[in-house]
Amino acid sequence: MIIKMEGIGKIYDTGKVQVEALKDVDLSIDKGEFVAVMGPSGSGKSTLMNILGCLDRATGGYYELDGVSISELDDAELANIRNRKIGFVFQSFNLLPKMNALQNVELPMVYAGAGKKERREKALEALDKVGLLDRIDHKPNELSGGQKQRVAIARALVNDPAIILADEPTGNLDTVSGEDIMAIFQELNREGVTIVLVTHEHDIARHTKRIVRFRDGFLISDEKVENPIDARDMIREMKAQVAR
Amino acid sequence: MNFSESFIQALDSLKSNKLRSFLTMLGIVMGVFSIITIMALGSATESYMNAQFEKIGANTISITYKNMNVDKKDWLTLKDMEYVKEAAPEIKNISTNIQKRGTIRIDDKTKDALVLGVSSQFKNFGIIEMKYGRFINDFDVTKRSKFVVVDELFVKKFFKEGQDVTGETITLKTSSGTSVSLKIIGVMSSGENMFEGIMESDLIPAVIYMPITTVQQLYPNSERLSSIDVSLVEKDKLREVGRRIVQYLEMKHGSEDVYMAQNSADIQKAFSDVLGVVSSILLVIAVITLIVGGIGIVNILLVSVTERIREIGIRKALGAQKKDIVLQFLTESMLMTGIAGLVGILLGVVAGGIISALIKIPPVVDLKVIIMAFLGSVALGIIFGVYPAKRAADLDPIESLRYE
Repeated sequence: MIIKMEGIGKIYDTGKVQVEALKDVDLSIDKGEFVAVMGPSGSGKSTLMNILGCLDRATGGYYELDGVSISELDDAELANIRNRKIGFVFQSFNLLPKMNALQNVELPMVYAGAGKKERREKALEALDKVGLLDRIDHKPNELSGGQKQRVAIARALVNDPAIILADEPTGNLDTVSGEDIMAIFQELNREGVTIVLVTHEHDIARHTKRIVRFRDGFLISDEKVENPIDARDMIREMKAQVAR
Repeated sequence: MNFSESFIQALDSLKSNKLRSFLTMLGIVMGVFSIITIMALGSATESYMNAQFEKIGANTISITYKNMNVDKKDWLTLKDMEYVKEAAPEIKNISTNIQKRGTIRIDDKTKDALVLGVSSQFKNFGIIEMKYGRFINDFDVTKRSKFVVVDELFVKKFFKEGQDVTGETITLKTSSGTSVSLKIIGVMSSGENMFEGIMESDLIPAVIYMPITTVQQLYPNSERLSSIDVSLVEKDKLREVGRRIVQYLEMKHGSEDVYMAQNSADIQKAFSDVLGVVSSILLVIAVITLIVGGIGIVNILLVSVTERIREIGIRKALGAQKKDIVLQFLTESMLMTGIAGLVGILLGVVAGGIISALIKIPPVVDLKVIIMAFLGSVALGIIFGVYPAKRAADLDPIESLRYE
């Protein structure tokens, strides 16, 4: 089991008001799963992602990631967990604008303390997986949205994380590029990578194998996706449409 | 992340904001520049002064009046030179001089002159080097010879630069109206002097040296000496001998509290003290410049932290620890102050050299000061970088990632 959450709660204390963003959430995710987290804004899905990603701590409950109990870790240890066990993919890509694609992908390994040679090799490998070997020296502003997101996925992959957390990864992309990204996620998942994806688009969520829904801080449903959409079929279809 | 990586990163960051980095560094450059220049000039002036004192001979005592207006009975006269010898038989040299004014005429050129009547041992007290001929000797003094010694500047003004004018005759008109012809017996070298340009001006009178007895003969009522100078072999007896001479003279004149003895060591110390005070004041100003420059760095780094909130958030999400972020910003600020320090040192050394050349003092470059200045600059980088770096490191990753 990669993720084990038991009775997770999160209360934001703003001084005057206390906001309960997550209430008693139980969630388990096994290795190799592809899970979509859905819910309207304010449902608590972002809070869940922050806690899953070790960017924030739960105020109650138990959270274990890849065998490590997260609740007791200090800031430095959390940074280490983010570095080694989690790969983030954001809606707005979050690449460093002054670095080229290769340097961006190498960045997590810099913090992992990897040597230059190893960094380059693994970064190239990751960029190869997302099909961007011909763009390694391009800066983010020289890449299209889809290409930027592919660089971000390569960056998320480069430290061989236990899980990839993608927060609305297709939110800033057109349908075709979004489908491309989903194809990459599906391919990675077939290779055994565990992926959690936050989205509010039902069509995107239908690409995953399991959908978890949140409302008002509660986990309200957790269901398996029957006949998930294969992004490759979608792309083929779209190409055919363009041809016609 | 190791230091060399954060160094390269910091360099990139400075390069991507060239103008801003340059302007930020300017304050530190100015501060270090001022410090280096002040230190260089200070030590150059001091070593120059010491060298000059060394030439004069550091073991001299000057007997003068405590108050310039003294009764005629308290005037120091040539007779007092004998009393001085009686009071302090161990003295090596004794000399005196009187200063009068006059006008020199050669052909149709005239110039005001300061006439120094000197005794023969005067040359042992000053930085006197003869270019041509000789200085005034005992015989000239006894014989009241109508001889004069001039310097190179004088020759340049009235004759031709570098010309050997010994044997030539000049006419001196004293302030009381008498004219006298004087034969030039020697030309002193003027040497390298920081005030050469000023000395050549028409406003400054020419200085000529004559036997003291000759001057006393030409000028009525000129028995009064301005000072009596003696020199000793032993430096540590300066004060004691000076006191003894003053006491003896006062006894002979039947007065009290009219003379004083200034010895060269005291004068040298007084000079150094004044120089030290001036240097310290300048240094304080330079340090203030540095602090102002440092505040500029804090300011810019804080702006830079704000601009890079998102970058910091991304780095933290990817696993950067607080210490990585601190190191990144500290490196940047150290790099800025380090480079600024180097530039300041370079400019300071060059400026020190130029100013030294202009005022004709040999430049003194102290390697210790340079190393201290550089290390100091880097230390400033750390001091002024800590707060912004801490601010950056303490940013919340979630907030930072959301920051637009």
